[in-house]
Amino acid sequence: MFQRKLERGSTVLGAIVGGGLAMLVLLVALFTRQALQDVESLKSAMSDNVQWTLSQTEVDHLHVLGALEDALAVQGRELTAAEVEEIRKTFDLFFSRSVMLKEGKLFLTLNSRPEFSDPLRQIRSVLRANLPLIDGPDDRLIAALAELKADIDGLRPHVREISVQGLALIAQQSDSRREALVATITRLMVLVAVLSIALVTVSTYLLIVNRKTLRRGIQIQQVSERIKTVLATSQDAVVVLDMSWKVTEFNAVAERMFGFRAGDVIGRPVSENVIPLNMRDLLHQRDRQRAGKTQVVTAGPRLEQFSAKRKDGTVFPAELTLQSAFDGTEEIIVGFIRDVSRQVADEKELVEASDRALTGEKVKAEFLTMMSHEIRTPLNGILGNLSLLEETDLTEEQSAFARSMEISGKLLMGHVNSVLDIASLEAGKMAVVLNAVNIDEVLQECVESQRGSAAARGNSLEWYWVGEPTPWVITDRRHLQQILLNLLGNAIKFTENGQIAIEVEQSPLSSNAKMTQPGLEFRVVDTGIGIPEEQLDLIFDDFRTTDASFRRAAGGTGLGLGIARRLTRNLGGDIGVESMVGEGSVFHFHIPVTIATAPDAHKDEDRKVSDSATLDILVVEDNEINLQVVSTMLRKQGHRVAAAVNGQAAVEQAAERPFDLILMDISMPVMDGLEATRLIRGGTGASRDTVIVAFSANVLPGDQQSFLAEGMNGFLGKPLLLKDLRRLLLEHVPKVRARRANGAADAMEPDGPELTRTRISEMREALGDDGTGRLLQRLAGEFDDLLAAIDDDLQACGGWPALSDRIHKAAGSAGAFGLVEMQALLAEMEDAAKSSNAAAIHVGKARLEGAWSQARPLLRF
Amino acid sequence: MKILKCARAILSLAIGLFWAASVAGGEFSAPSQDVVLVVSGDIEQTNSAEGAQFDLAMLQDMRQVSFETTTLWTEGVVRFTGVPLAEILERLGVSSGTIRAQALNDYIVHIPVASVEPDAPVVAYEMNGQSMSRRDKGPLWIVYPYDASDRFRTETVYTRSIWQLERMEITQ
Repeated sequence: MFQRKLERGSTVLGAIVGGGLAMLVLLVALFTRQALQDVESLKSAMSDNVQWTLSQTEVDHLHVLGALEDALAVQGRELTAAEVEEIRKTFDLFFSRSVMLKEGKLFLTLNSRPEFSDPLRQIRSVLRANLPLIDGPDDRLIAALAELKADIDGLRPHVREISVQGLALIAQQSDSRREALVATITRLMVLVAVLSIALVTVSTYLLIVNRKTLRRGIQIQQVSERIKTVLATSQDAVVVLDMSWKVTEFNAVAERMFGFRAGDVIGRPVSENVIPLNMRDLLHQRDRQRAGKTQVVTAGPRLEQFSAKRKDGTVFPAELTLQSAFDGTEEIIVGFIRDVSRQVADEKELVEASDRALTGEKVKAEFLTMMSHEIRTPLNGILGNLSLLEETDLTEEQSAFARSMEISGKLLMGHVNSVLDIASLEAGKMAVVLNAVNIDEVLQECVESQRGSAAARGNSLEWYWVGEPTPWVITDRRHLQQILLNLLGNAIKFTENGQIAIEVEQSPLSSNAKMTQPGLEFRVVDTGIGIPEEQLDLIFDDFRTTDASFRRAAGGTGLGLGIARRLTRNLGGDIGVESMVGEGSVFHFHIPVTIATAPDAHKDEDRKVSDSATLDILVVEDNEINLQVVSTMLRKQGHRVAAAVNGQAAVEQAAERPFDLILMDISMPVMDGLEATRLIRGGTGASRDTVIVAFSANVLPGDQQSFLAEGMNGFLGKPLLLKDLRRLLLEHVPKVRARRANGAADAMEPDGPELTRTRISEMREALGDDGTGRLLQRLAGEFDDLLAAIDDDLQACGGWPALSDRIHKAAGSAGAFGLVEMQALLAEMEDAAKSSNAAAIHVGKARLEGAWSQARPLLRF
Repeated sequence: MKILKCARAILSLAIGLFWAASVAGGEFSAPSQDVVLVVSGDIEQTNSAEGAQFDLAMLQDMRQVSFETTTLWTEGVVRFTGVPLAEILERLGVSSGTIRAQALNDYIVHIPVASVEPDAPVVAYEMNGQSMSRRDKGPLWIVYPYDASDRFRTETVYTRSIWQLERMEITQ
């Protein structure tokens, strides 16, 4: 639009310039003609003639006078005829001259001036007066010669006057003519100059316009070349249509894609061959839009998926981008078409791969669950029986076999636990718990716990600060301990008769130039065999040991460093290693921390919440002791308890009675908890809407999801903790919620020794004195054994899993007798054992001993 | 048409032959009246010791040309009648050289023979149908048809327009 205006402007300008030029040329032509005329008048020059004639007048006059004087000078004889004729001739010539002066065209202007015409009239009148004398007879002429001479002589001043005046006038005239000519030529020159300037201006303008046009031409050509190149090199098929849907461009890619030659489709309606049937519908739709609206294609590019069709009829998925454009004269439609068959195939493959991977993950999770439940339980059985076997009378040889079996079994248990640790970490179950931690304490515990095994291989072990110490920081103690123990264990494994040290140093992490966060760097330095350089990148990978021979020598799953790395990253840090074969290794990790001050008070326990609402509870549990303990606990809380020993029995009971709560074990003979839940929820029994809570030990992260999916409302771990139970009741059981809403006062739960006494009396009621006594003895034995086991070298006593199991068992027993403090302590220790945290175990053991010596007197009746 | 053309050609040829024969025959008689023009110098035909002498009648007998023109020296349009100079030169067998023309008042001008055209200049003996007197640039005046062409309005032509012509001498 703008360009058009410009063009119109330049047209007008052109017209003005053209008109001006034409006028100038006209003027120049006029002046030129004038000048030419002037020059012409010069060309037919007359002035010389005039001057000549004027001077000749004087000459003629003198001739007449001369002839007369000659005749008058003749004395004493008659004048000859020739002499008379001479007088007549000279007179006639003079007369002829005077006639010419009077009549000649040359003298027309002179005659208009009195200074010229007056003397001429005088001359002519004198000459005419003497004509009769000249034409008369000779004797009369001769007689009058003297008078004639006087007359002619009298003309002298007039002749002179004519000559002088004529010359002056002629000079004047010629001057003015020259001036006129000069003026004309000057005008001409000026005009020519103006014209030249105008021409130069116009030429310059035209030159500029021309150059612009040329440049624009080049630009257009360049753009056109560029577009051609773009079209030719485009990865997409490009099809350009005009407003009547006829193809105007069809590039090489389009030719290849559709199998048509450009010549076959250009100029023909696009729907004729290029566009497949479903696309034709699209076009028709567009056509309808076009009928209704002004624009054919929406302003922005549009992406459409469609099935394109080749010349040979094969159909392929394609992507179409439509864009309307204005090419200067009319709207055009540009379509970019991309063959996406490969992409579609890739996507499909990707989806399949993803499905496979998900299936794989599920299989893995199931496998791990299986490991958890199906391997550990029998393995515990084997190990338990082995220890029983060892107590029987065995030959020395049999004892050795049994020990070997026990060592192998414990090793296997350790591997299984490692794998489970990995699963926990992967699932994010190992949440980071930030607390104020005393680094000195952590390091001391770690070193203490490992000193035995280090010494066994002749290694010294120490820890120290580098730089200024910051004993209290906020971090996750368990993570940190686990990392350090794994690294220490590793160092001890690969060092013999050497030194192992833990260095710790403040080392801020800088995330960028402005922000720095305090951090700690730990370095576990050993003088062991070192790690070959090519292995350095690999050692943090799972199931990785430096080589098979070491693995055999040192044992281990190769998961320790992998776990350490996961834990480090969990804390937001990173881990690395430097090593030299034969010199030793440095494992270093760096974690962000917050500097803290030493805490002065120990935290209050959770507020105790109790509900005195009486509920009908069904406990489903195949383990009799557990069943009895839980039942007793619940009854003590004032609830009515029914029991079922497997899923089948549970389903039957649930159908008959409406319970307020069902606590459902998962792994049970006959029918497991999940199946039972499904049947209860799917049936029409009285308890179909009852709150069902899973009640299980060793639950993997993914399990809880599957519990909920089967219709369960929540999850409680074993052993059953009263506070967890209360929380759950509050969340799920409507009766309890209603009571709390009514603001009923919570009944205080018996605590501490009172609880234990209550439990024991409950048991006596239920089991009789003998039964209770046996249980109490068993409990005491368990605790003594456990404390004794922890006393031993942890590494040698069967590994962490075995320890963890024993602690777990003890925790369950403590819970059953209302030894809440010990139960909580043991739960902590169990966690520590699971994460192979020897230091925590030792600390826990010390506390446990104290608690046990306090609780022991209570367990008598 | 063709026959007519042919006839005309034959006729003009015949006249030409007749005229040539009369010249070649040396029939160049002396003037019977007052001599108005004497031509001397390098000429082939003479009729006196001075050269070729012409009286007015002799000139009037020759081919006659008449035209109207203005002149610088007369008033208004004037009609001149006379014999072409070329005619006189041819009669005298002059085909090259220079004519030295002289007037009564001793004005002299040179006219190259090569510049003489068939009909211009003309040695005029009549102006406006009358003989020219000595008092009016007579009796003979070499004139050109000035109005007919630019080439007759040059300074040279004006100087060659000699009046009161008395004699001509042909030199090579």
